[in-house]
Amino acid sequence: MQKLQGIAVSPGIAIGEALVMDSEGFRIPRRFVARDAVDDELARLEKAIVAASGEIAGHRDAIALELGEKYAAIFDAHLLMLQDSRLRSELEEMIRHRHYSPEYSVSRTLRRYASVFQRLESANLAERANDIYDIEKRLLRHLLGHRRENIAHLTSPVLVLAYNLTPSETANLDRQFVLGFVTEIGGPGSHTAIVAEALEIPAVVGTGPFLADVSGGEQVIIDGNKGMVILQPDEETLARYRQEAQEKHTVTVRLESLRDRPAITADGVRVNLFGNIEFPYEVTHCVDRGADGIGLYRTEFLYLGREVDPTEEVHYEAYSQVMQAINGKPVAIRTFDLGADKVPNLPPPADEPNPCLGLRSIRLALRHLPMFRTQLRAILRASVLGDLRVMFPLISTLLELRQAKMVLADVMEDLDEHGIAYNRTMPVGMMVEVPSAVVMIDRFVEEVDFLSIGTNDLTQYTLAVDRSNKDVVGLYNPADPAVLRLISTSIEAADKRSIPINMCGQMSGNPNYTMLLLGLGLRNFSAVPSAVPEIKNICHHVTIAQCREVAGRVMAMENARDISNYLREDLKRYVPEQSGE
Amino acid sequence: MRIMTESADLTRAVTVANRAGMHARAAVELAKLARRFDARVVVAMSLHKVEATDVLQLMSLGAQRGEHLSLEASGNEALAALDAIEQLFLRKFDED
Repeated sequence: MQKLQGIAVSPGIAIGEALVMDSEGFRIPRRFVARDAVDDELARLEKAIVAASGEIAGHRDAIALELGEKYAAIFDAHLLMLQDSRLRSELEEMIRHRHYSPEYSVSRTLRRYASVFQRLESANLAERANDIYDIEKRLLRHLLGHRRENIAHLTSPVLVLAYNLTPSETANLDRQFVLGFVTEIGGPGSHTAIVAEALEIPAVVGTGPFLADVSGGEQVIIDGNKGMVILQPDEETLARYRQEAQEKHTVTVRLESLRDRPAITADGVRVNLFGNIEFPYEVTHCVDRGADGIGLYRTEFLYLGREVDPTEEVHYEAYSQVMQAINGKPVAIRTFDLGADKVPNLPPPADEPNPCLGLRSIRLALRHLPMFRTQLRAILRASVLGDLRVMFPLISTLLELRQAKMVLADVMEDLDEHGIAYNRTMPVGMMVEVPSAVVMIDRFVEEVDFLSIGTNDLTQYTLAVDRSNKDVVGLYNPADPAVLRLISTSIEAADKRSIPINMCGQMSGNPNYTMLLLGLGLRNFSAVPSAVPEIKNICHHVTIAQCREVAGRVMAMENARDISNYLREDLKRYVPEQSGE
Repeated sequence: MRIMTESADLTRAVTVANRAGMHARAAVELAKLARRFDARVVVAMSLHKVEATDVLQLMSLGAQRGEHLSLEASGNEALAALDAIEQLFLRKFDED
């Protein structure tokens, strides 16, 4: 049994068979072969080794001719590695006596060598691990042939373990059979995190290297609550996790019975609970949980994993699906919030040492107006299909907000000229996620119809902590008193001006914070759809007076840890069956 | 005749003298050299023994600079193989 700690990005427990993908999105295959197929399998391995050797020799000669013998040496090494007699007998033993598949044997054996090299003190040898991976890939390619990229056609449930998952890889996965994700790299905002949240399956990212220790078909547990991954679990651990999964299921079923009851506090104050979505099919998740609408519709998926920018029709198609499915309830759509590296048609940023402080989001939109206008046109056209509102992300100055609104006005004029219908009074809002926006919030509220607090970025920018950086992620805490003051200031400013303010970061979906936020005056929460029933349940149990008392105490505290501990204890006291753990 | 020479094992002590130790290039040089002789050469680092022709095993020894290894050879060209390999160690694998 081996336990790995990563970053929890999507809650839940998943137990199942591993589907291992390497850094090239290459599937590391199943484990066993039939007893009577052993000779055929051995022959298949031999053939793959011969083919791989021929290929390597070819590269060797070409490189030697082009660059000189010295540069070809690495291929000599690869050839010799393939001829290693111990390696060959180990492979034969695994196939002949343990009935492992050649693919599994190759990957298991070579990965063992790679991890031996990685553990050796010599930096020189540690780098050689990459040569081993290279040989592994080459052999697998010859063994698997066409079956190589067949991850779109799964036939049984799997947990996907990968170095990283690209949008096109996740798009190709057969969702019906994916029970959970683990990636070696990535942080809370990574693509894997967003997709896992959307699919409502557990995910852990940023575990660091571990794929060398696992092979396809092995049993794995993903604990998306604690951010833990357990390889080769023992019976006791398995039993414990099975029970935990079962209990969680029972609570979920019970909470979902709250679906048709509105979120009203024990003293009768109505709270709006919205869902955050990325993909149109998630609207169902919101409707099923009795959400009051969509508080954050992210549009980044439209840009990811494609060769060219999405056309106006592609945007419109997605938006109209959402509008139809939500059936008249409000939808707040956020214009694209990406870095230049993710947008297909834009030149990659030349020199960007700090991407989160760089050219991204609304800044990028204002720099590339045709692309921005395309999205705004589609949003405006969809605005006649129901209660659609638009919001701009990452606004940091008044000028930026005014520019964005000007582009919107310009697009409206254009639609007028063409006689295309849209909602002239579509509410226009902004995300509050940069500290400068909070400092100037009394001015901003004069110029928008609503606000939405994005706690993830607000925390990151306020505390100057990159939450995808493992070394400092411990400093990231939305319960920091500085962040809470900014949130409180924003709510007060919105109330004073009587405009709605919503919160759509991870904080609003975390039950530990519900009472505090209610106490600070927040009445609109937007969270992952699966969190909606929990938050609703808390509302039913508490009064605003109690929440104000909690908020009063918290705002007098000085550090994030005290606040987190206090809030956890408090939730246990008021809503014992749901302690947020 | 062959059986007789094979049973007469020869051994020799060598030291890893190049700065980088028995890394990939050094292991490749050693394996290539060992393959040229009609002899079986085993490289031993304390109790860990590997074939001199097996690059992966040589690398797995992780022998650093200053490590003492012993060579055990058998076969028709055992002596020639040992001499040549010893020279390779003395030449620090033509590095440094």
